[in-house]
Amino acid sequence: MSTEPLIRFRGLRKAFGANVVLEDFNMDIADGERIALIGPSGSGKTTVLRLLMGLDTFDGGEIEVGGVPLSRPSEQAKLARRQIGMVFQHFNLFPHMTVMANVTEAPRRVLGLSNAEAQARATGLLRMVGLEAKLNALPRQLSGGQQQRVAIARALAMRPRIMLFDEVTSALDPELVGEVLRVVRQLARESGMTMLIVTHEMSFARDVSDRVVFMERGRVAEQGPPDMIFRNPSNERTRAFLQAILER
Amino acid sequence: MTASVVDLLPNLLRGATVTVEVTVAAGALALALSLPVALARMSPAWPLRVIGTTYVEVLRGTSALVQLFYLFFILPLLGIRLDPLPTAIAGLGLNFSAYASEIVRGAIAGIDRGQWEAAHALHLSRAATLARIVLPQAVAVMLPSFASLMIQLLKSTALVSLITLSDLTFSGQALITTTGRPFAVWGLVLVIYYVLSLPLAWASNRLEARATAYRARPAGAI
Amino acid sequence: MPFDLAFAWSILPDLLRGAIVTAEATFGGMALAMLGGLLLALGRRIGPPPVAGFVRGYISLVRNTPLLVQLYFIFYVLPLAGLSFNALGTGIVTLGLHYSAFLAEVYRAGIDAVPHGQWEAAQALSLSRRDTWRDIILPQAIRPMVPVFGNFLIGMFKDTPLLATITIPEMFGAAEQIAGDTYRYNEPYTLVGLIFLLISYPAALGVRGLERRFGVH
Repeated sequence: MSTEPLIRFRGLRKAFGANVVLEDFNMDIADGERIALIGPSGSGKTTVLRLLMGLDTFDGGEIEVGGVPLSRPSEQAKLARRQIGMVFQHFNLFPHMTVMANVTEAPRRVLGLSNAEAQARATGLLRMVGLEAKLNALPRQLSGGQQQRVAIARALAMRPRIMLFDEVTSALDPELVGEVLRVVRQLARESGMTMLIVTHEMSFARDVSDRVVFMERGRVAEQGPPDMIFRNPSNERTRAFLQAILER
Repeated sequence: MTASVVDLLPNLLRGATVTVEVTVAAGALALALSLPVALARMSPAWPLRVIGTTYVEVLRGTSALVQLFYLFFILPLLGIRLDPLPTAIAGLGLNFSAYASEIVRGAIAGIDRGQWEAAHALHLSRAATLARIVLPQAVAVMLPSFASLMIQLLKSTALVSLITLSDLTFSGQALITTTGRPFAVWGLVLVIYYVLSLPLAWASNRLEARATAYRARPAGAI
Repeated sequence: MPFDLAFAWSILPDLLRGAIVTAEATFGGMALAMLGGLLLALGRRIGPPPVAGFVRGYISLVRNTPLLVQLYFIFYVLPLAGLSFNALGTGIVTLGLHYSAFLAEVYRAGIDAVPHGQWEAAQALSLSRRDTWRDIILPQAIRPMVPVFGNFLIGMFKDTPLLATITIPEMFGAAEQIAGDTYRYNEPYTLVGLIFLLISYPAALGVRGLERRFGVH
């Protein structure tokens, strides 16, 4: 890991009307680091991902990716953001396109890959997520777990340096959660990508990440290595949160 | 009675071909205008939104017949002379483009925000997102509404008889004067309009069923 | 193109007199259509099979044929059957019959939207069919219909110019009369268009407000 952070959040602020979601949010993320963002709902975890991806604009502070500020739209900011991929809670597959077309669309249109190149790349990724048999299926013919694995392959097809996972198992039936988590675990082990993972699955957060960040009321309340956060949290609120989750 | 109905038919069918012509041409005009008008109304640039909204509200807020008469009597004062047929097509096409653009706008607005977000996360441009992701899905939603709108248009073409175009309704009026048999003539005219509407009604039902199946929730999602 | 303000001002009273006839036709037609639509919806829902079948055919025929031709049909054919109204009466009857076919569908959708549990609850309380309809189902069904009725009322208003074709002196007929007498088209037709816009646009905004209030998408 280099010393210069790959992603830097500085005094980030975001409000929806009167509802302040992030207030003076600060975090540095090193290249190749895997971060699990945990915390109660409404604590701003998802908003951090959405602002980084550019799905919403922020009201104050700064986000830098590779030293490029994202607050003002610029060609540089656009290229910096292009290194980011995202997987959503509700998959958001394109329902009118086959699995193959879902995965090849952006590499062809944005990266300018030929059809054959894009298909070769997609086939490899879909094999990796265990869906090489479903290339020509439409999203609605797949289970939720299969759809989410296609969504992961679709994001990976852009060869992102940074991957954002926004509660990727929250919309799944319980028996389908495992197959999706296996894929994310494998990526965390083998890919070397920088990953930001928002999740409510605590055991997954623990063994997938290098660092766990506990958020509350739009700020980082506590952070540290997974063992420390889960075994011996120093913050009273972290302890209460973990206790409540474990007692479910 | 049968014999005389057969006598009436050729005249009425000649009128019906004009009715079909006006329906098809005005329908094509309305559809062609619907997307640009809808995009203008949804544009981030406010001048475009104002223009689009004014266009739609003025055309929807004044009566179609008033608009036809306006074109028919007032364009010539501006030095623009159109025959009744193009006047009819322009008048109804413009009027229906307002309704058609609302169908387009509603369908685009109805597409899940997650689709735009997924496309953004894949770094597709706004234009590519619209063309490749949003519109193909929106069209499936629009089609049944377009089919019903075309039935409305078919019925509205009767108005063109009032600007002297010899459509089905005009032919009916002409036959009343020559035959003096209103019951047979108007009854037959109604039946012909009804028959012309049947393929559109059938299409509307089929497309609606398809669109409903298309919208079915994916398996495994909560 | 000259627009003579003084002339426009001078014809305004005539147009507004026509507007009163337009209002009579619109509200009269709507009242008839609301009653007729309810009867059609009920006939289709609880009538014996021949009645339900007839109603279905009637609705389909009326919805899919032009109002203008229906107007001619009724204007020329009713007198043959010994029924004669004055022109305005004929216009109101035609608007009412035409729109009742559309409103029947609105009633049907509204009735279908009342949860099945309401019927079961009424049955569990031993309410008669009649009481169930009158006290339980219709009051719940009609609330979300109100904005839809509003839309059809505006639609009917914009259809009233057709009544001029059977010599009813409503607003558009008044404009035609003026145009025919003076050979000046711009002022009367522009004014009529403006008056339509000035009434129907705020009305449409009002209906949108109702939609929000009654929680229809």
